Amino acid sequence: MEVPCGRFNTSYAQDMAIVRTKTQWLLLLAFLFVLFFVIPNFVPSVWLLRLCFAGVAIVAVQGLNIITGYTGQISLGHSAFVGIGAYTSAILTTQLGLSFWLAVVVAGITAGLISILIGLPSLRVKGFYLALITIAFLYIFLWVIGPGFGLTSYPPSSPGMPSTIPYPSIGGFVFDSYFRMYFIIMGCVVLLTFFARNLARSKVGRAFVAIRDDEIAAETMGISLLRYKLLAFFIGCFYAGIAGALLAHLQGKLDATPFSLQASISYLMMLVVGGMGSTLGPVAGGLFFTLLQGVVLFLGTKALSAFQGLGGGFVGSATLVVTGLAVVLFFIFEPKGMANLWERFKVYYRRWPFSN
Amino acid sequence: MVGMVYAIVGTALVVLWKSSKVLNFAQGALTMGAALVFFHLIYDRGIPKWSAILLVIAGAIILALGIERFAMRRLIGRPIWAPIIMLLGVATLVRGAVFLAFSASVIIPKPGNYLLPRGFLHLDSILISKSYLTACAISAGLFIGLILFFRYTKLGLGLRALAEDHQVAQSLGVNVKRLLPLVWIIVGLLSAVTGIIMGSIYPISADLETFVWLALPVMLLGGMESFSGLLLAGPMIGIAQLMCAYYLVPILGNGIEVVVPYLLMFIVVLVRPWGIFGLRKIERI
Repeated sequence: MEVPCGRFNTSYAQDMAIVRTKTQWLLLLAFLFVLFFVIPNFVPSVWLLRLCFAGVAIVAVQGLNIITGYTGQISLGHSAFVGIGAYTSAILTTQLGLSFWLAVVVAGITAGLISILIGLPSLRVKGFYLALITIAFLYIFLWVIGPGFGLTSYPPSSPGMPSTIPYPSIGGFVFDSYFRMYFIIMGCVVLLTFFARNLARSKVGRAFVAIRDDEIAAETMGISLLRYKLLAFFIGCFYAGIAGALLAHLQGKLDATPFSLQASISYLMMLVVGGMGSTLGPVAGGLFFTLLQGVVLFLGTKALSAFQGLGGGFVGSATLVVTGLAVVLFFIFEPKGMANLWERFKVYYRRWPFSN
Repeated sequence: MVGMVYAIVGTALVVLWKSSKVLNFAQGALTMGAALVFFHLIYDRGIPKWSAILLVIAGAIILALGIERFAMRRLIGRPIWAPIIMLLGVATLVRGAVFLAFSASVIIPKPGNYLLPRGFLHLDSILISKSYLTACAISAGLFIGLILFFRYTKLGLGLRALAEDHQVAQSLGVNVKRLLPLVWIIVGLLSAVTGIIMGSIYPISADLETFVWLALPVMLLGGMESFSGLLLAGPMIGIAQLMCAYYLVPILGNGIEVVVPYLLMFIVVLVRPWGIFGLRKIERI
């Protein structure tokens, strides 16, 4: 690993530290200040809402990163677990009157436990077959919430049910706008990103990477595939469940659109564009895609008003084209994603003025 | 009969899997795109059927070659998830482009200008749809052609060697760089043909893509690299679906028949991942 010039690690703790220097502490504090004070106060509300959705996506992709990026188990059913989290939390808070804070955790654990259903097959099959299993799981989930139990639009408009999923609250303070939800979501993003970073450098994280690099070799080294694969699925889907719960309480209403196969695919795309197997990747990918969609939406509506001949689905299809193109181009020219761009930049400025 | 349609759609998937061990996640988008373009050409532009067929086939082949040249060739030697994600990206791109061109509208067939014959054939008390029958006949021809190609021609055998290992194939005198585009030409051709057949049976819309996803369970049940497996598994899944529609819908409600193939796939992968006729895989370090 590249270490800044003039710094020597004299203890193991120093070698493994996440925040290494005083400058980094300063930057971290500055970043948190910008995230929690400057952005909510100075960014226009449309973009703030967009950032909220980006935050939800980042949490979900951070989970997918643990499954796919670190452990190498490809999952195309991630949005199903986001859905499980969303519906669990929504049902718990509306029908049982549980508080949001408890419901989020329960949603995460539920999604994690159900993920064992697709974690177990991953012991038998891998690669394409696992992708197929996860697609199968996603379709079964969509059936369960759709025709199976009629939860497609939740809460249903029936007497005795609240019309929306309740907002979270502490004491008497209710987070009843997305301006206020922003703080909860970003709090989760920071906390869970930190946890993911921490996990990656632990024994568990190294076991995950060993399984990704070669399953059979990892097993001969004494890594229990059963234990670590299930753990990877549990943690990854725990993240997805929390993302889903946040989404449910941000939107106030649920339908099946955010849990479709296309959503799963776009989580995977965010991960790839951001950079697989790095903690920075999901953050970069989530932000990049959300901003990209924002820009396409902005330009698309401009184009719609300028040219009359364009159809109603123009913006949606243009978004598909742009995101597809972004993935293909990134895969060809920068396969390690945006996180790798950042790594290269770091190497560049450390060696400056002798960098090439 | 519905199952036969799945089998037809599966051919393009099996060709690619058999010769390069890549599962084409962009197949749905390709097939759907070919169908939409074709029916747009003949119904909205009034281009004669046969020239439209040739145009669509040519277009699909060029697109498939483009995918091979600019996307897939760069992934040789990358981990297993690389082609999956690349093809998902390509699928999103193609789907977006098709929607952009047609605004995801439903193209309405003009009466009297159907590609396949309509109506029913009466065999005593059994009704058989003529369009399904024609589709079956076309696909039977396709299947026989493909099976013979892969079993008896030098080219077909070369493609199967390709699937095993690119390096080994190259060292045994198989020109990998020349054969891979050929595979994609076949894929393009088959996507165009299946798109046209599906479009003349089902309503022509973006939903055609979901039918292609349904070909995945069929392919898996039959064994990933087997055409005859497709022929067997297609009707099996089709019949399972119909039985479920008849017996389970009253109990479990609508929509269960769409999930059944995936449930079956779940079970097949767990119990017998190589399907009915597929090759068993042995793993080494």
